[in-house]
Amino acid sequence: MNILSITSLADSAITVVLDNVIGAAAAGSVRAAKAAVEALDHSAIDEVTASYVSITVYYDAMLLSQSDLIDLVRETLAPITIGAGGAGRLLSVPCCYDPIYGADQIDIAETLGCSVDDVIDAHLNTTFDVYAVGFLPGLPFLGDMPAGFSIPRRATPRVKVPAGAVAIANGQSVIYPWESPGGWHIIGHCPVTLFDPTRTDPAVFCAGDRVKFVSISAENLASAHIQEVTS
Amino acid sequence: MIRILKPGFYASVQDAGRVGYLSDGVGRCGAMDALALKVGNAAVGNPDTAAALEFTFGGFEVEATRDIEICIGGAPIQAKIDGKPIHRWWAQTFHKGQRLSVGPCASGMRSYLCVAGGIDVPTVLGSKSTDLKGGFGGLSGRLLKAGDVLDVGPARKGREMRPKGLSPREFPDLFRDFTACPTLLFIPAREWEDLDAANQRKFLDEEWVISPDSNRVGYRLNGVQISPKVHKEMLSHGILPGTIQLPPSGQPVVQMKDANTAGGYPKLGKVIEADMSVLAQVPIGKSIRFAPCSIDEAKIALRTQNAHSDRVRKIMNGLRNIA
Repeated sequence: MNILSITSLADSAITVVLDNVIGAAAAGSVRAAKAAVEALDHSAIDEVTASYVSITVYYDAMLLSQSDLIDLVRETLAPITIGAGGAGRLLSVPCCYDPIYGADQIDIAETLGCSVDDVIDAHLNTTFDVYAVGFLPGLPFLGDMPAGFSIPRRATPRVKVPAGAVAIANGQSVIYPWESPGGWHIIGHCPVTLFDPTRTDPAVFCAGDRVKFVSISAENLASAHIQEVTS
Repeated sequence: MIRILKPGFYASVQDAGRVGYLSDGVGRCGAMDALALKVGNAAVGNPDTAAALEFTFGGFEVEATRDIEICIGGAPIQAKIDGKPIHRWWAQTFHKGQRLSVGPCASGMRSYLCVAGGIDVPTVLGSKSTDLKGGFGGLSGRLLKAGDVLDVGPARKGREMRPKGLSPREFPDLFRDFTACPTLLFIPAREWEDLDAANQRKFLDEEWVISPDSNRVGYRLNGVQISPKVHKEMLSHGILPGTIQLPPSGQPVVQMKDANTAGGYPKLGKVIEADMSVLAQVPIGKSIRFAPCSIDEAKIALRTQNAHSDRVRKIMNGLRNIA
């Protein structure tokens, strides 16, 4: 695997950049690299996080020097091929596009110069990669929306976006696990709990998963759930 | 148990923090002044990582609902049990029905009430620290309010204990006030090199003022405008408490214990672990300076600080055995 650069976050972490373009290829590299470094199960490595084009390795400088860590990561990633470990899980995720849950549907359609149905179809027909989980506990950053469906964030962020809001901006989509301030355009609602601190794996999504939205009606919110799709 | 009568400005349960869930978007949290938590815990015979109550700006009042051993640490404050002054960094028995009332911080910002046995709230994802963003950990994932009652974990059964503690002569660092402008050491990060010499100089010469919209998530700093040679748009990547970021405003932000798990602003560096405890005590409106250091210097500083709290533990254990 090709490493573009390694930068240090002082004595606590290194960020390993694997690509310079966001997309499925970068997501594949990131997924394989994270799995390989985690598989080392090294006592000096606290945790590994994945983001759009990079992984960040958090370590204990008292136990391992940074240059040794960098050597270790280079050695570990050198033989790894991008497809290693296969594609991530494919999850089918319920989303209700009923207008009462899609406060910004009309604005989005007007800005993009298409119909609301076009926007919903584009969202439904995309298999998203989970690029990163963050900003809030359990919040997945999903990409990419098809070309032509990228819209800048709202000029004025909302003070409160409801929990479960499915929103789009900058060619990507998110699901808000909690009520929170937010600047993305709301197109629907996902009724599933995305983060539960009492579970061993508290977040439903992890970087490297793939997501396909499934349209549900407002009457079926209560029974909706996320399913792993085996192909 | 401890009952909160007045929580003061911002009170929460915190321990040494939550490790291992950054990839789920869960931050580290934990005591802002990690050294104060360590020393306070050492004073009452707890492990380093036991949970305590973190108070902000002083001005709080609590009541004991059974006899417990406590130690107040952190910022300089006037503390009284039933009207009788008690010392900071001293362990003593807080009897059932007594009230501990604490005035405003003379300087500094955060106080810790450590209790033998630790504050006993459920461990969530490996920690008892309050995560306000996720609404979990601590007491129901929220700030403390008047009327809250907190359980205390089991502690060694001891006889009636005479107050005992640390002296300012022996531990001047623990008793210093926070009125002077401290110089914090930082390890430069990649984007430090994106500043030209003049801007690096400006960053190091400035006395940066902590802005009023600073909190446990981050400290915003006000001062001269810092401009990189090139404005870099970076993709979001992992960050940690201590990270010094430079947003387009040219005014740096230091991520604190409730830091977001990822960010995209250029990073000038990271405040060394040992100095995060100092920064945690610099009140809003006061200023700080920065000086660069190496990773090795950061390690030495942390080792020295750890030796410090180990010494406190030894002294207090010694005092406990002869009491």
